[in-house]
Amino acid sequence: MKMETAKSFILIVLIGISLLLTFGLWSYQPDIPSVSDKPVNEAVDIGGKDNEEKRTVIEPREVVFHIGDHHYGFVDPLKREALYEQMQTWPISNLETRLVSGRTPNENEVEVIFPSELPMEILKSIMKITDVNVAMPNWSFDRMYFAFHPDNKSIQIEILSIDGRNEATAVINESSYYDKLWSYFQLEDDSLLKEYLSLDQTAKPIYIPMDAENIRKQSITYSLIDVPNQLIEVLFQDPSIVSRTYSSETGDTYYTDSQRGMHVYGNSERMEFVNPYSEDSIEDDQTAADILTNSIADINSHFGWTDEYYLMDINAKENSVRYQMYYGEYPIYNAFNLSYIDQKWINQRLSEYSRPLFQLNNPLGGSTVELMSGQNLVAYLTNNRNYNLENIQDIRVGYRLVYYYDDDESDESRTSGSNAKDRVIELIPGWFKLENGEWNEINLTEDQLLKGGD
Amino acid sequence: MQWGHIKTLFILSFLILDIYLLVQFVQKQEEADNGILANRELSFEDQLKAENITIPKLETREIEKEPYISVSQRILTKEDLQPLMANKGLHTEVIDNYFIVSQLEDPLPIEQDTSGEKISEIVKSYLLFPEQYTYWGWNKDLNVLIFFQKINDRPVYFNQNGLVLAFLNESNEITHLTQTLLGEVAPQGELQTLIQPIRSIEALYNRGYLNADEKVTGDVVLGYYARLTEGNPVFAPTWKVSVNGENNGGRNYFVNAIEGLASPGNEIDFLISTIDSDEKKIITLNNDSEVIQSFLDVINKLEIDNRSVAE
Repeated sequence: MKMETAKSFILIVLIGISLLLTFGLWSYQPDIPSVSDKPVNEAVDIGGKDNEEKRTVIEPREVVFHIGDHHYGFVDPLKREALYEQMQTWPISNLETRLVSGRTPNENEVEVIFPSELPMEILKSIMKITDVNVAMPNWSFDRMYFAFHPDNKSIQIEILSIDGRNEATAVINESSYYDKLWSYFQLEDDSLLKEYLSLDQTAKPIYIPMDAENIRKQSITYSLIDVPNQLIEVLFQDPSIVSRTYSSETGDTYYTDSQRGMHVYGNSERMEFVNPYSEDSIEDDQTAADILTNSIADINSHFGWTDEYYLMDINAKENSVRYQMYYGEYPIYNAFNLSYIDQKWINQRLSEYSRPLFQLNNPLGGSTVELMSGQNLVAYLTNNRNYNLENIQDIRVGYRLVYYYDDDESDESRTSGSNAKDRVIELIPGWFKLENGEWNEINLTEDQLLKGGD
Repeated sequence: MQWGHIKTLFILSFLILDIYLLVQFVQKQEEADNGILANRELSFEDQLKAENITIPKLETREIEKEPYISVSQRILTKEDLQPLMANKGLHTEVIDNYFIVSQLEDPLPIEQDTSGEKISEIVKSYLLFPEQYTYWGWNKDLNVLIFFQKINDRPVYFNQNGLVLAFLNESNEITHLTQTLLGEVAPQGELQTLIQPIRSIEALYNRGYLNADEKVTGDVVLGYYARLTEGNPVFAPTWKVSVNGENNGGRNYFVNAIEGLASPGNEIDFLISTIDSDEKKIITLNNDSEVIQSFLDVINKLEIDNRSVAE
């Protein structure tokens, strides 16, 4: 009897072993050592948004309603944003392209102006194109026109290429959208729209508000992004090998791991990262849309949209993309690039990245500033010998960012600084112009302000 | 009793089955351990053969682990400099306690086809710690001999902070020498596995640095290299791979032996930027010693010559 129990036990053990071995054979996967796969640091969060897309990061610079010779724009930029968001949901069909030489404006039309040249490929991402398989031409555009067909209550969309030789047309066949857009042309009260004037001396017409605008100056508290711990995690393959050099001369800190380097400027307000590895490669077949896709995904991956940022410029030749900080839908400018996030992508790899290292927190308010009216500004620019309207590529109302540096220079205050109480930036409204690819504030001396203000 | 017999039979048959499965399992594991690597290498080597790319015989090395290192500039003391100052055949100036410029009393002739060892031997007495330097090459465009400092007996490739340059005149005589020294070595981070030399060649190939009918020449040598040298540089253990030899438009590449990233090393660009920054250093000093002035003349002439070559 004892013998039998022992045999049963052995049998069970043997069956168990055979099952184990079978399972082992079945599921055995050799672990192939991977050499240079970058560990993905999903967890790094520098405190911003992680859900930007092409359709949200590309905002029109202006939406202009043309009624005959008159031009109107929104009084409140937030209303402009709201209308554009609606337009993005309107289904667009019958996309066709043809060769043209320029275009003739319609009597009544809506012009949507983008801040940068966009490749047609991106249209699919920012608008609702019903035919997903439609082939996009490879030219770029920066303006879109919405014209009205009253007979069948449809909207005709016209997109002209930058060089004016190609045009794409499409249709929105939905009377409710037609009515919605048409309603702006029949407004009686002028609280929604105000008159713009058109500058035609410039290469492309620029539209600016005709009358004086009142905008609040803003003082806003900010906090610093914890650079050493967080961005190193994001940008360096292996944070443990990164060396840190502090230069007492300039106050800058430099981080490197022999392949990549990151400069953090004196008061930790801005950083510049370079990874020259991708630069010395030969082939490069990425499109502007690729750069944008990669760049948005990259910034999302570490919650890098720390404030309101919109696309400012995308340059396929330079492989670069720039996003601009906005406040209350007004663009922010700063001579030291403190309001830009810049990235450069080469061969689908991040090659350069520079960004501000502060995040705006609470507005403390400020006094209202009356800007010079558009009419007076044009008169001023025309009469002032320092300016030549023909060279000006764009004019906008925006904020100048003034960053107040810490008086207390000690290293200690810098590192423990994120909760220091009186870190404040100021946003000062003003007129800005684009000339030779650079945005600068138009300096109005008091004398001219007095003359212009009347 | 029937059941007892059946049990015995079952025990026997399961025993045989288990032994069979075990053998299979062990075999599979062994295959995976060696086979996969061998297969990958084979396929890359086949690829090279198909494109007529020749590579030298490479030993498969034991798996090595090395850290990144950080090395600071060595600050020279009076005692360090003693041997140079005592050398009668040499006029020496030291800038900011780290950069040595020497002028030779009698120019030192170097024959065209002198071996590296011989050249090292010749300049030995004019350097500090000459045993720490290894001869790299003779740049004919600028007529400069290049020596790299060694750390852990490995060359530090193209680094301005651990370098000897010997400047030659038209009749191939050394007239001036500059020297910088690296100091304390500290490991940076943890030990990391190095890639095999064959993988560094593969890295070149994948980036398009190694093309059909080309030749990897010389040994794939492990040294240290910093792609970015600003600040307090970190050096990666790095494989040096030479393509197409020295004389027929040869190129050198440096492959980070931990991350497997290849970057081209451009000798002439390195020399020009090094000499430029040397010049800037000297000019800001406003030192009018004879050595410095004659050295400035030499590098000014180099720049003029080089500009005319470029034009």
